[in-house]
Amino acid sequence: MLLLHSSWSTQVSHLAAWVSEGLRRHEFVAYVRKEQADATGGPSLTRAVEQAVTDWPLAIRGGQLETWDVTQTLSVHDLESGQAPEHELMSRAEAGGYNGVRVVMEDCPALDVVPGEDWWLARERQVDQLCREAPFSAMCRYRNGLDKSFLLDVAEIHHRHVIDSILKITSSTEAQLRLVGEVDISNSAVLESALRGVCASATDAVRVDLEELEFADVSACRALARGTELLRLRTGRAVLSNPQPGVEKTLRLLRLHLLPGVELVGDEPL
Amino acid sequence: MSIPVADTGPADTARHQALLYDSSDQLLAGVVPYIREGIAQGETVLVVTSPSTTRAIREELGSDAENLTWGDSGAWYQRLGTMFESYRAYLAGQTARNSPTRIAAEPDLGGRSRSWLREYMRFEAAGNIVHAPYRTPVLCLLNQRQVPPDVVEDARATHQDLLEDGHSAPNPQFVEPRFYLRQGDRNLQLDQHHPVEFTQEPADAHDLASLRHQLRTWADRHRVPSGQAANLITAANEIATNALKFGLPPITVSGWRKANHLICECFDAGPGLTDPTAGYHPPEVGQSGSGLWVLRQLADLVQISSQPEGTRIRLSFAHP
Repeated sequence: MLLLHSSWSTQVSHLAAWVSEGLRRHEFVAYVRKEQADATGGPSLTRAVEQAVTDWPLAIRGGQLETWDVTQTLSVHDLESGQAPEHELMSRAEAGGYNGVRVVMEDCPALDVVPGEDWWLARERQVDQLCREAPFSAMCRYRNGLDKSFLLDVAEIHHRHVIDSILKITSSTEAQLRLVGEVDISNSAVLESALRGVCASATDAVRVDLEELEFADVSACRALARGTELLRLRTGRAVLSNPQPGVEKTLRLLRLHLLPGVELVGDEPL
Repeated sequence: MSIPVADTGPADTARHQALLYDSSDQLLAGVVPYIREGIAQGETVLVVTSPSTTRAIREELGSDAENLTWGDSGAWYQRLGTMFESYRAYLAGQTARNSPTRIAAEPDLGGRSRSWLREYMRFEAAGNIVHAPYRTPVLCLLNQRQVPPDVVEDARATHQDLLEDGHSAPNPQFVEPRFYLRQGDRNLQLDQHHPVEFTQEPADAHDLASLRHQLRTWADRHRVPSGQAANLITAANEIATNALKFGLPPITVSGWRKANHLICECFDAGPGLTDPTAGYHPPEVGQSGSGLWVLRQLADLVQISSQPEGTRIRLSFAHP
C-alpha cells in the first residue's frame, strides 16, 4: 500500500487507521519510524499517529505493536545472505500466535541509510511479492518532492493499493483496478504507473472500475490510454466500466472508446 | 499594418466560399444553381438552413429537394465547437465512404452577440485548415443584414471565394487563416469590469481540486443542472491546467454571471498560444492541445485574448 502526497492530517488518519485495523485483526504490527526523535523540533508524525490510535499504549505493553527505527530494520537486514527484516517479523508473529504481520514505513525511502534507489525498488518488489503470498501487509509513505520517475516506479510496484490526496486506487483481483476520487494533472502520472503495474501481469482483460471516479480531466484520459497501451498492443483489452456521466463525456470527447482494445461498458454485467 | 493576403490556391480544388446576400432572391439565385450542380454530378448535398430558407429552396427545387440531406441550422449552430466538429465528422465519414459531397450552410446568426459572431468567424477561418483535407466544397450563406459591417468584413477575410451574381471567384480579401486567428487573439480586448463571484489563484496542480470544489459550489448556487455543471467544471479545470502547464504565474481563475450566461475566466501572465489552430482539430488521445479542444466542445463560447500583460481565456455557458 502506497501513501502519497496528502495533507498532514490525512496522512496521520490513514496511518492511524492502518495501525488500528492491524490491532483489531490481531496482527503483529511494526511501526517503522524515520528516526528516534524529530530533529527539527516540529510535530512528529509518529507522535501524531500514536495519539490517534486509541489502543497504542496497550498494544505496546502487550507486545502486539513495536516501533522500530529505520536503522534498526537495516541492522536486521543482511545484504549478503538476503536475510530481510520481514522474515524475522514473520517468525515472531508466528511465535506470538498472531494472524499476520503489518508494517508501516513512515518515511520512504530511507535512501540516506540504504545503498540506492535500485536497491530500494528491488526490496519493494520483494515485499510486494511477500504481500501476495503471505499474511503480510505494508503501508509505505512517500514524501512529496522525490524524483518523479522514481516515484512512478514506486507507484507501479504498489499498483494494488495507492492513496493520494484526491484519489484511491485499489485492486481486489489480479486484473482489476478500482478508482475512487478524482484524477487531474497532479496525479494522472501515478494512475498511469498503477495501470502499467496491473497490465504488466495481465494476459487478457484488465477492468478499470470507474463508478466512484468523480472527476477525470484530459490528462486522466491520456493516462488510461497510455497505461494500458502495452496490454492492448498484445491484444489484451482495457475494460473501462461504469463511468459517471461527466467522466464518460470527457472519455468519449477524447474518443478513448474508439482506441483499439478499449471497451467502455455501462451497468450491464461483463 | 499590412495584412498578408493568402494565396487562395488552385481554383479546381474544393473551395470554401461565401454567398453574402441581402435578399431572399439573391440567396436563391446563388444557392439553387450550386445545389443543382451537385445533384447533376451525383454528389451528396448536405443543406443546413433555417426553416424559412429550407422552405424557399424546397419550392425552387421541387422533387429534387428529396434527394438532399437536410439539417436545421438552429440545432447545428447551438454551440460553435460542436458545430465545427459535426461538420468535420460528417466530412470525414463521407470521405471514408468515398462519397463525393458538397455542403450549403446557413449559420443561425440572428440575435447573436458580437462575441459570438467574432468567434464564429474564427471557426470559419479554422475551417480552411481543419476541413481542407476532405476536399469538399462548402458554401456559407451569410445574411448581411443580420450582422454589423465589421462581421461582414470578417466573412470576407475567412472565405477563399465569393459567390456573386451566380459566379464564383477567388476572394482578394481572403486572409491567411493562421494569421487571421493570431491577430484575433491579439486584438481581442475582453471587458474586465464585472462583479466577480469567485476567484482563486492556483499555484500548482495540487490546487486544482479546491478550484473544482469552488466551481461546484458556484454552479450549485446558480442551480446549474448537473450535466451542465460537469461541463463547466471540466472546461474550467482545463483552462487552469493549461495555464499551469504552459502559462506564467500569477494565474487567476474567476467566475461571474452576465445576463443569461455564466462566465469563467483564467488569466495568466504568459504570452498565449503558439499554435493559433490549437484546439480546432480533434486530438489523437495523448496529443497536446486536447484540453483546448475539449473545452471548445463543452463551453458555449470560448474567447482567447493575448495581450502584452498576459493571456485571458474566457468561457461562457448559457444559463437562462
